[in-house]
Amino acid sequence: MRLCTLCQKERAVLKRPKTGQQICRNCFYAVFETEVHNTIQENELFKRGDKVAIAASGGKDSTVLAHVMTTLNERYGYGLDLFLLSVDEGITGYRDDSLETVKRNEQQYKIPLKIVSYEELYGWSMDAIVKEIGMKNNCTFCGVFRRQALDRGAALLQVDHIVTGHNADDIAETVLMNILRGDFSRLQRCTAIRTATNETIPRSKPFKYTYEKEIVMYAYFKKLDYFSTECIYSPNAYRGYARAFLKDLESIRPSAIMDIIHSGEAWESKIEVKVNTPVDGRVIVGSCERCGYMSSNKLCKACVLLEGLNKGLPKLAIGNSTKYKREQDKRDASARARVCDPATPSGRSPS
Amino acid sequence: MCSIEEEIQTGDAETPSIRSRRRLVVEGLCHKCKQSPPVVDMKRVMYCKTCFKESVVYRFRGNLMRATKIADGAKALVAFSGGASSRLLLHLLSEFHEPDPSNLRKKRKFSDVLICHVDQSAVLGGEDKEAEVRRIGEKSGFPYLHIPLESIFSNDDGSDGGALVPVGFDLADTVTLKMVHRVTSTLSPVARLRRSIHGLGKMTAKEDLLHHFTMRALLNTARKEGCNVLILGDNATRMAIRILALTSKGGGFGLPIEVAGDTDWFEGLVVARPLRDVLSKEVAVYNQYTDLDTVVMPALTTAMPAKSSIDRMTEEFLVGLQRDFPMTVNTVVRTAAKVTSEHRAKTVMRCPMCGGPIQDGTNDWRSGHTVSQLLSHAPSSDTTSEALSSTSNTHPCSTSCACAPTVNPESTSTSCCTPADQPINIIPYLCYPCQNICRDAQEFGATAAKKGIDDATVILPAYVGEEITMRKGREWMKKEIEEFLIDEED
Ligand SMILES: [Zn+2]
Ligand SMILES: [Zn+2]
Ligand SMILES: [Zn+2]
Ligand SMILES: [Zn+2]
Repeated sequence: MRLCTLCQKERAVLKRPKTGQQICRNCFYAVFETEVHNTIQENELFKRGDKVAIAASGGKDSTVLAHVMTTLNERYGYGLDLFLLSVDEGITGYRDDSLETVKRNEQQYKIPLKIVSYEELYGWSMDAIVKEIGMKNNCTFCGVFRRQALDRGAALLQVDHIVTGHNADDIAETVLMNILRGDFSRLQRCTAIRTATNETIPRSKPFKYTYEKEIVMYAYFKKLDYFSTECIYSPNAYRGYARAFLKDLESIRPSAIMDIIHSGEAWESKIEVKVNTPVDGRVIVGSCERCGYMSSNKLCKACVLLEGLNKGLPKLAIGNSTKYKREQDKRDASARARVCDPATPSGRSPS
Repeated sequence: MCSIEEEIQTGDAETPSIRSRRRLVVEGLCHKCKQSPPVVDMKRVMYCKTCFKESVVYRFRGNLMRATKIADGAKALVAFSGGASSRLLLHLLSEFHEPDPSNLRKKRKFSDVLICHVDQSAVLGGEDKEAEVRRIGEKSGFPYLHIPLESIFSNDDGSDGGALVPVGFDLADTVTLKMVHRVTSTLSPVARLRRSIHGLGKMTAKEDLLHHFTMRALLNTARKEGCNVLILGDNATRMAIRILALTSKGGGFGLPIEVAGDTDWFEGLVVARPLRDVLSKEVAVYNQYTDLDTVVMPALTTAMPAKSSIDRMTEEFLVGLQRDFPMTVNTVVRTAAKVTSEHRAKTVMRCPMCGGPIQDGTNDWRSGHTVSQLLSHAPSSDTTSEALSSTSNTHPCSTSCACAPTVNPESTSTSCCTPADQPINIIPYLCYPCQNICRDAQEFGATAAKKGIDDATVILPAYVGEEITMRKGREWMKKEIEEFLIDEED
């Protein structure tokens, strides 16, 4: 029998993906939870009494997040008021089962659930959008609509903070992707634990340093019930390369995912994006003329997309700079058919 | 057309008409002079032989002239491995150094140029090729210096510097690598160098340490020869690979030093990379057109699979991507050139192993986000995790021990902290990527120790220990007198 490296008492039942250490089940829970707790404490993510919405999709990341948030809230007495928040994109056969999982989560963790649907918010379901514009470019819609849907749902619930299930793999992948496609401004922002955009409600990623494999492991040992399916839309081009590369790196050196995040943090822009700060009596970030959502332009991104969609000209709305267009198309064509994971509520782009 | 030219063509299905619409070009002629037929297709620009060579020379000279940190009349040391890039570097430099025939009184950029070849054959083999490298180097007319890599185990005056040797390994403890300085060693410098590299176990760590040693040997030689500039032959493709690999190894903090066209990070020296925007394929074509002979030296991962190390894998990945998307290398280098970090902040220390910057808070970051030790042996998800350390856990011993972050004054006479020849856990004193090297060494050593092998574990040059001891000493002194120091703001 091999003893746990950490406690030297129990039998080792797993090899920890992050460190390669052979440890017992309880030590695994302990290090997993402590790392998330450290992340929350170090970044002072919440204040006592905050209402926090957990973006829940029924996938593994958000299910484990709901469990860990509930556990830590009790153990350390964070004093948080937790909610589950789900988005129903209206994709036939895709959300039906996952929403069932979220509903079970609601029961298990005894935290209230709010579901908002695309149809309700935009007048279009994802199925209807795809019917209109085809499979290509729907990721743009998915991303923008999902992002806003969470905010709008959170506003309804009057929450102070949204937490999403983005994990360390997502973030490391994004760092690599932004280097490869030369997106310097996103490169400076993509490792931030808190999203600094013109949003009304702050968002953060408590699983920033948590490995995807360990999330699966945690769910497996805790017998957490999650819904696992892959989004049937949206293969993303650059991300496919970055992801394949990251997997290879991890197989050579398990700490590679953390190491990439560490690199990315060293480059973080120190300039905070200020939200709603009046300059010369003028508020720079305004709101959308049509729907009132935060926007620096006349219309918010969703309304621009909707306008195009309603006119039957969605392609005009998707700003693809011509400089990259050709390469982008080539990448699209040759990128391996990769699909996005529904588990991460706002799509796979924690940029 | 020759085979290299075939290879360089981007091979996309772009029609000539689109091509000519995008640029003011004449169909079937070189895009630049519009007179000779094109023979080189580089990044969708067609060049004739002459214009292609001109464009390479132009970029090389431009980079040197723009390098404002290099004073006019500086003495330069050129790193020469014998490979394609440094061969081209040598050639371009000797042309660059020629007096201008039209203006003989014009001052040259460099007063003197020396060639330095670091001989890695003790680790990599290929001793038989050294003579050929020397022949090519000496043909250039510049003085040729041959520096065996094992010289880093000697003191500056050439005397035996001893070595840092490990003191026991623990399989469960991945964050400690205790080493002690042995003043004398029965091992020859060559044997020490070999054990130093091979005692790391993992190929990624071996490549990194070999790189640091080589850089150290170059910097040492440059200083000893009174040079002001060290010129490296890194080309754009090499740089892009290094950028991605360094990022993947946690070296983002020091990246701005690695990608700079010229940097004065290294004390008393400017390091310049004038080929930083010439692709490796352009190097190959240029060398072929100019009949520049090169020597193929063995590398650590020669004939090994792609996944044998991070550097090797990154090379495979990037070269493959570049084949499909010819802008990849340029994009990566350009993006990395914009990156900034706090490496110039006053509090930033230099890493005793690589000379790079150490990011503040590195140890706490690691121990907080990768909890790999328990303070108490009673952890449970259902009870409490307070038993787990959350910070500063990289120092497993008490403050009175050598492993402590700062030395306790009382300990100076009684504990293991000082004098110099006492064991030190070196990991907390290193930069993040070098900590990764030592973790690999620790793991390899612990596994070997378990099998009863103790003559294969890592040893390090004495300077690593000296610099740590010096730092510990300063930290201790500072702590002693701290309350008597007056803050500038007061
Ligand atoms: Zn245990
Ligand atoms: Zn709007
Ligand atoms: Zn020409
Ligand atoms: Zn270092």
